[in-house]
Amino acid sequence: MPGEDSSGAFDGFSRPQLILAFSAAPRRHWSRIKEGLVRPFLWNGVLAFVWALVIEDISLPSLALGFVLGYAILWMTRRVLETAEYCARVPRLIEFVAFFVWELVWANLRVAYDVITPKHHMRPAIIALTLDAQTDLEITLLANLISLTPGTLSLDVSPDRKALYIHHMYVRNPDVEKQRIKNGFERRLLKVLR
Amino acid sequence: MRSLILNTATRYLLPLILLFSVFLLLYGHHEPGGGFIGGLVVSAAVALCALGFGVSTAQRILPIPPPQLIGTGLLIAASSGAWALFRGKPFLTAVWGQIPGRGNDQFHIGTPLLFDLGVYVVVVGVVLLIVFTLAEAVDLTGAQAGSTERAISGTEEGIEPAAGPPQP
Repeated sequence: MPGEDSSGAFDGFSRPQLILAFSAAPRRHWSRIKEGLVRPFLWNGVLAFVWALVIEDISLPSLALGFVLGYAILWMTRRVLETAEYCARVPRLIEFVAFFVWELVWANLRVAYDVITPKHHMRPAIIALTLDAQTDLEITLLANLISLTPGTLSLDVSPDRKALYIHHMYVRNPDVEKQRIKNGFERRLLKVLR
Repeated sequence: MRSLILNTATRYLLPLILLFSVFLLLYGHHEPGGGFIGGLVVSAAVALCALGFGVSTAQRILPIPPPQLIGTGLLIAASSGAWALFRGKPFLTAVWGQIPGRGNDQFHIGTPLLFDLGVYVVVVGVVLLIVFTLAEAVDLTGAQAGSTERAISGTEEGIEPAAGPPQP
């Protein structure tokens, strides 16, 4: 097969394969995700649409109201229809998004304040964050969330995937900043993903 | 007589029926519907679940047992009447408020909705208390009913070698 030949000949693949061999990451099976999360979510969408049909107003507010009511109904019947996992995860997702927006605004204001005032408040440093995130997706999402926040930039993951190197603009105490990111972004992200 | 068709249909119909009951409750003031009918629809949905999956499964839909639902519903309905007392009006006088919507739309919300909600909960409690009490006498899924049926037919006919000589 030409595909196998080219992948075997291409030298760049050898290093990622080595890293993958290191990861003893717990993998979630797609069938479980489908049963526990995707199907209830589709159900919630169907209920929102049925609600919009019943009140004869297919618009965004009525669809949103239908989604909320549908979620409430799936929560009521969670022990019969087995939608408990989905119902538990939606509030966590909302909490995560709210926290991320809050962090984004706050970090923006801090950097903007530093830019428009003459005095220099920065104390840049590179910190190594010990990771609880294990799978490729978890680490990638966490790194990108940190990069999206102004003032912090994720540089690289250590070869053994135990640490994430972050360039941070305001480091008074490295341990405090590490705990802030660990209890903020990482804990909430893992609560949504796991 | 646990039926595949009934079970599958119940699984898909239950959320839809519950959604429809919420529609009946909220739109019942100006259109056909209201707390009583909405409560009956919920009871029908739970009874359907009891027919398909058994009473113990159906009971898990309810957050609290039916007798406590009756008390909760009565409390909600009574509190809707007490609202008017704080305004210096007779008990159960309707107090209306308005929620501004888009454009000229305004949502009217008031104590009659709260009263309807109380009725809704009471109806669910009463009907399901009756349904569950009756269902406990005869298991609706047929596990117990089947065994009694077999016992009756066995004594009536007396010919069927149900407990006949053991086969070699």
